[in-house]
Amino acid sequence: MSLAQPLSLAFLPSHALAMRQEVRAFLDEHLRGMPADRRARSWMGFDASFSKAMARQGWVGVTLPQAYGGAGLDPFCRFVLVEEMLARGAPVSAHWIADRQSGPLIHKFGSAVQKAFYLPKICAAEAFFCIGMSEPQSGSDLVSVRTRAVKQDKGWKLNGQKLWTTNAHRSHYMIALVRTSGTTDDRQQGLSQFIVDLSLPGIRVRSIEDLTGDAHFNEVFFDDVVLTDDALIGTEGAGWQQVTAELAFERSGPERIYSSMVLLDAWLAYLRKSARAIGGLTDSMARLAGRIVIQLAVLRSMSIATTSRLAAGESPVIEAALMKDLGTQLEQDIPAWIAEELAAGDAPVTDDELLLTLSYVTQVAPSYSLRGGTREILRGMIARGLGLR
Amino acid sequence: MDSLFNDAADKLLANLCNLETVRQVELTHDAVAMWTTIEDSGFTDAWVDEAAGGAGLSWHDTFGLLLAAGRHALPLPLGPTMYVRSLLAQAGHAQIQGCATLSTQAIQAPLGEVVAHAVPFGRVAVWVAMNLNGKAWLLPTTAASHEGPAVYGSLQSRLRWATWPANAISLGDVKPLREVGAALWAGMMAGAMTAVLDRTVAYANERSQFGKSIGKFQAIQQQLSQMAEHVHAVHMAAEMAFAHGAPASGDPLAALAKGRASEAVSLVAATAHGVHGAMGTTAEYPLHLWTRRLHEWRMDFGSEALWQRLLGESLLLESAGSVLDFVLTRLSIEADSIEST
Repeated sequence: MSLAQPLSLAFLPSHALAMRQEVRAFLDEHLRGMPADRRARSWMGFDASFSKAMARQGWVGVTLPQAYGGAGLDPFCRFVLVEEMLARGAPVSAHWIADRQSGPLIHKFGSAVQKAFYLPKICAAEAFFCIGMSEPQSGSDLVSVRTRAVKQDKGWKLNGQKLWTTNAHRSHYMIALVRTSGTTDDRQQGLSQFIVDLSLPGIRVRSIEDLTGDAHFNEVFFDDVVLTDDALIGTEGAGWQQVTAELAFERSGPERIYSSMVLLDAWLAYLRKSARAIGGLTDSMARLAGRIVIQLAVLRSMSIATTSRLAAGESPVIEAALMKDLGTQLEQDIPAWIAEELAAGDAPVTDDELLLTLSYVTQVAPSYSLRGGTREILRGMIARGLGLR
Repeated sequence: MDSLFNDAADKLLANLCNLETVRQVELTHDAVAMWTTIEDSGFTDAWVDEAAGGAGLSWHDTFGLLLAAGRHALPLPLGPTMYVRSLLAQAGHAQIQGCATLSTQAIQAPLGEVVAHAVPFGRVAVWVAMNLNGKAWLLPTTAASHEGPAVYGSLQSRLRWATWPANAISLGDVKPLREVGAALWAGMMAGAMTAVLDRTVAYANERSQFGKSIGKFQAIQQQLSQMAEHVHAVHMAAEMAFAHGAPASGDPLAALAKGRASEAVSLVAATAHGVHGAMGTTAEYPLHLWTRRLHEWRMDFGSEALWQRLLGESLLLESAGSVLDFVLTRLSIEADSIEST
């Protein structure tokens, strides 16, 4: 195949499979009575007390070493844990970024002091993180960021603005990608990452309401914010390399196939109950259910195969991009197809929970292929992998 | 997968299937020489037990062979023959001479006449395996007449046996031919799609317009990237169907594989032809060798509409749990469930 190598079947090891029952028992207890339209928020659902309960199980910072309070588990265990959480619509947003990205980033690039300070807080769900990448003039063209940290005699002075920062208004820290030397003409050169304590003077956070009435993303303004020297994470000037190293992890996980799972289960439950009473199960209902479950199961195998390459120390950047584009397409097709099928006949749909869930997922679905790299950017990466660029 | 076996099979088929030879077989329906080479290689008995003189390999071990058959546009039913030979060996029968294909569209009239519709590889196969009246049979094509439709280059045929052939071979009870065909075809389709992708990417890099190769245009890149995504998905789906060995009746992984592979055909073939322009629609340029196969194979043993509906009914009527539960119990491969030798 023109791409490096086709993804081959890989397997979840037995110790990872063994986690599943325990996770399910936990979710049965903690999600009881939570309606589908709330669970449909998936990894956008914020509940600090739920995150703390997960931390008590040892499930926040799962891949971090036990010395820092982590569970020291491998990526396969995280796959099972995350798969169960997302399929059920557990509100994991509070610790999500720290568990998936910030914790591993600090563990990989941080100093001994930084690791000792931040990692135990992350694992206890006492420190929530957000990621400061996008800016008003810097979206897909991320290297054009203008927020700048200027070296002082002691520490750094930070000025600029971040945009679309998820959870900035309820996080303790931001890992920000900023310019420390040169200009935007220098592209990937001269960028660095900082851990910014969001309680510092000079920081203003303004929430942006989304089209469903939720408030999760924000504008963040930095006005002469004074950072200490140990706010710099990793190497000055190596910010771009550090960011891209994390992207394969961000793009290949179950969160790229399961965002519409709560809606899908709600629809199937509705079909099993009401549709059969109304006029029987039609071929087109069955066919749609089959079409979705086939695509889902194949994507899941591709996701496990990518996880297995990551666990083996490889960096399957192209495969992860390919998976994310295909996975988010299915996530977006699910609400569109279900809406079509629900209104295919004259019978009214009276299940309000299903309708609310459908409406929510339909409206936020465009974000599935924006967050973590847009469709067009991913396809550009795949084209490079194919040898076209 | 057994890489030694698969590499050797790939080499053999690559040498055998130069495009001129493939076209010759498609236009003359004479494949005796090509089949003799394959039979002499011993690959045909890969699934026959070692005790019976075969290689005793599993389906998953030999997945690469079906990929290679699709990638090199092999104009012969190698996978079906391997399956039929394993059945014969299991039943203790003598082996057949020549290649065998599968039919799930055979009907027997009250007076004994048998008609098998749209038999894939029907023009070159020597035997056809089919279920008739509750039993499985192998019927020789030498005793049948070929009927249309005579599609240019196609190996498909409608076969009619006016009377019951004397040398028909009983295969015993009904065999899950639809599921077996679905899995084998998914493997071949994954291989054929890989060939189409490779050829289309190469063409996009060669063909120049507006002063640069058309592959440099984002519009082309976006289409080829999307095509590559689907080819990867089909490859994974097909491998999943090979993991547990020969599929049983109602096998959900065979349904998954053929459903996913057939679903991707329209996009993959249309993108390949779109990028190739008029050149891709000529008889001389070989793209149609694969796209014709893909369009036919999409329909053989049921299109995506059939397999999606069957799995959907199973999900809605036989299961009461979540979608994830259904995926975990029926559409997931665990290390200890894989069939290996």
